[in-house]
Amino acid sequence: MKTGDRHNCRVTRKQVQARLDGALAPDEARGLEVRLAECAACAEYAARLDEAVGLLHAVGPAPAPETLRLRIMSAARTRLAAPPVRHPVWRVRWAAAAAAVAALIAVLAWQPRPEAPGNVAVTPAGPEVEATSPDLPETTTPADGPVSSSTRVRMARAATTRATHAVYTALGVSRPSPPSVSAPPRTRAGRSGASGEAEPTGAGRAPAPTLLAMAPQRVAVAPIAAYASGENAFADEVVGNLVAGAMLESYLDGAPPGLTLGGEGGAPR
Amino acid sequence: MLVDRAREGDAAAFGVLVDRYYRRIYGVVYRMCGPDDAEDLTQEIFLKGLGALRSFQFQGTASFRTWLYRIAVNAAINELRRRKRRRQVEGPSLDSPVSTSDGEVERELPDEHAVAPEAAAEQSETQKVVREVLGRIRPQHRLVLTLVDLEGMEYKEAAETLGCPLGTLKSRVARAREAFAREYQRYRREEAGAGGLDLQGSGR
Repeated sequence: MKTGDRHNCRVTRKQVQARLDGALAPDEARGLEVRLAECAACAEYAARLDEAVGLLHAVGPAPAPETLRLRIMSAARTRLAAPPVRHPVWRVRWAAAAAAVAALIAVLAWQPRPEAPGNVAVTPAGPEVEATSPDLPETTTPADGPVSSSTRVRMARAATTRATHAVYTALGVSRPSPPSVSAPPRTRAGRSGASGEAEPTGAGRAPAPTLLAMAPQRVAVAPIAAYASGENAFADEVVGNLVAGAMLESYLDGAPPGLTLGGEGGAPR
Repeated sequence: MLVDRAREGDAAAFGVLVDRYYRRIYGVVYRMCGPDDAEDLTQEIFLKGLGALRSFQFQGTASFRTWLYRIAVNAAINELRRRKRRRQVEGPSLDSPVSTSDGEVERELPDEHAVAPEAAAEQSETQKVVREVLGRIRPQHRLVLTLVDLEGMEYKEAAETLGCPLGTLKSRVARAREAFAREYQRYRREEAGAGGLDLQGSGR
């Protein structure tokens, strides 16, 4: 017996797997037999796999106790008696659509605009963040030229805040009282020109947003804005929490992971 | 449609759904988590499914069966995590070495799999071997083998249940089978060694 080359062995082993699924045509099966006769290693692989998986196939599904059905039915009785709960599906869909739009806006806000030199980002501070979603495109003028990373971080957070606000507005959910969790950067437009090192005026009174302060909608758009601005660690944290949250939700509710907005989920803590 | 009637509270319709799927759901849970809580978990899964159905979380985009499987898989994974957490909180007492006449023997059971060799559900030697070996492989491997090779699920449906592409599922099944075969060989060597026999002739 000779040992085949690595590529052939890989193909052979794939076919061994396929044979277990009954997915080999008769001529393929014959070809496989020939190759197994030629390669000792593949033959051993096939023998061990066939034996082990054959065991699984022989055992089949675990036998369920017949009484289980009755048990489930009696446990379900009270739930069946109650009227069905109408889930506000339209609201969830609205929120998902709004989040997508808001995220898009947040991403677009970070595209540098080379054809407008000297035009440094002008983003609204404080109350202007309260603007409703139709105003958002106008309030997120993109920056040009080199922007310091700290500015970009602040811009990302500001965009997240605005994007989140758009979702809130779309949902008709009231927003927490401070106008912005993180103040958006206000740059010296028209004065500093292309200096690039734009200094935000509102930085001192702007606490960094914490995930705890974020509502689910916000968490959904935050990573997109953060990645777009290169704030990867922050984005990773958000994504991690988002995934964990979605998984938790799905495990708790048995629903596939996704944007789920209950009545209490709409407002941030 | 059966699902719609069950949603409206039709017990008979729900009963048909239960009848149709409880064995398979039980099978998944049993293979994933062991026999100890399999009945409780199955019941929980159906109640969860019913609750979700009645609150319109099931919209009929996937088949009800796939959807229910997904709930079952999530519940099983969740249960394994819960056990693992509980063990971490309670400390190592359950996993401490077992004292035998030959001295201390390390417990070789994977920590997240409840194995109760004395369980009444043990029906045959093959059942026992399969459960033992399944308990040794990673839960991810156990999961795909349960769905595909034990429950006999089509690749396509298994991929939908696990939310992964068909190609990914196929390679996961292939890897899981290899892992199972490896552990099975190891198990046989151990058994042969314990019995003082070398049934296999050539160990690896």
